[in-house]
Amino acid sequence: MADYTNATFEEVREVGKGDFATAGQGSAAFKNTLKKLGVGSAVVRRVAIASYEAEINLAIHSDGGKLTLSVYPDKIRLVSEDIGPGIADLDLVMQEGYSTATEEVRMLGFGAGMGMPNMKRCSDEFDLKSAVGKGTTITMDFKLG
Amino acid sequence: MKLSQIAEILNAQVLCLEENLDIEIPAAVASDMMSDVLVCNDSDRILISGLCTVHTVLTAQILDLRAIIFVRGKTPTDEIIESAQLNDIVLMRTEKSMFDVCGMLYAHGIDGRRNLNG
Repeated sequence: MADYTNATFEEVREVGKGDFATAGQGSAAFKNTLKKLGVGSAVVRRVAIASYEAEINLAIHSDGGKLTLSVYPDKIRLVSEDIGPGIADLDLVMQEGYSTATEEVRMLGFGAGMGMPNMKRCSDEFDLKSAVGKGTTITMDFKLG
Repeated sequence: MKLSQIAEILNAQVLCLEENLDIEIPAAVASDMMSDVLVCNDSDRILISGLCTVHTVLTAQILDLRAIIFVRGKTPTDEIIESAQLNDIVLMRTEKSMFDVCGMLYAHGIDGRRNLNG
């Protein structure tokens, strides 16, 4: 996906490994920010859903990472980056119902294997890059106007 | 259907925001898995769940849902109730099972709307 610079607004949320209890608060904050910036409610909701899914994934699966929300005149970009462990099979994670979440996570209502496909469904453009041992970067764009 | 009618049908206890009971709700989503609930990208639903955690309220907040019904007698903590109140989400609880709640509301015209993939 194309590189963009000069965001009119940027907000970053760090998510630690296993940080499940507070995961989602960053997405709620992003949502409030976008509302205040006057973004339409349907777009705000799509960004918030994708962000919440990404935040939960970072807490459940990653060794730590961050979410960056950038607002441009014509679009919103949401980037999830982590420091590992990376995804071995990128086709499998896009398959609805596939999940490696633990029983403990499922007891908390997550790990239905819908996260990654739902992020793709919510965004206008979706890009997933991952290397085992290095980390995963998900870039999602949402058109404005 | 108004939330007040839903509460009456289910004999549910309203835990917060009784002043919002005149809100009209045409549809519902029922699941204990928030991952499945998050696939429903529309805000005119009530969430029916046996999962009673801060993430249930957070999920409703992210989706702009106006109300949650906790089934199987699940009782939210004060922290959960406060969070719902702050975010304008009505909370109710009922001793009924999820199956019974869904059946009763469906019989009264509440439906599941669009399925997961439209």
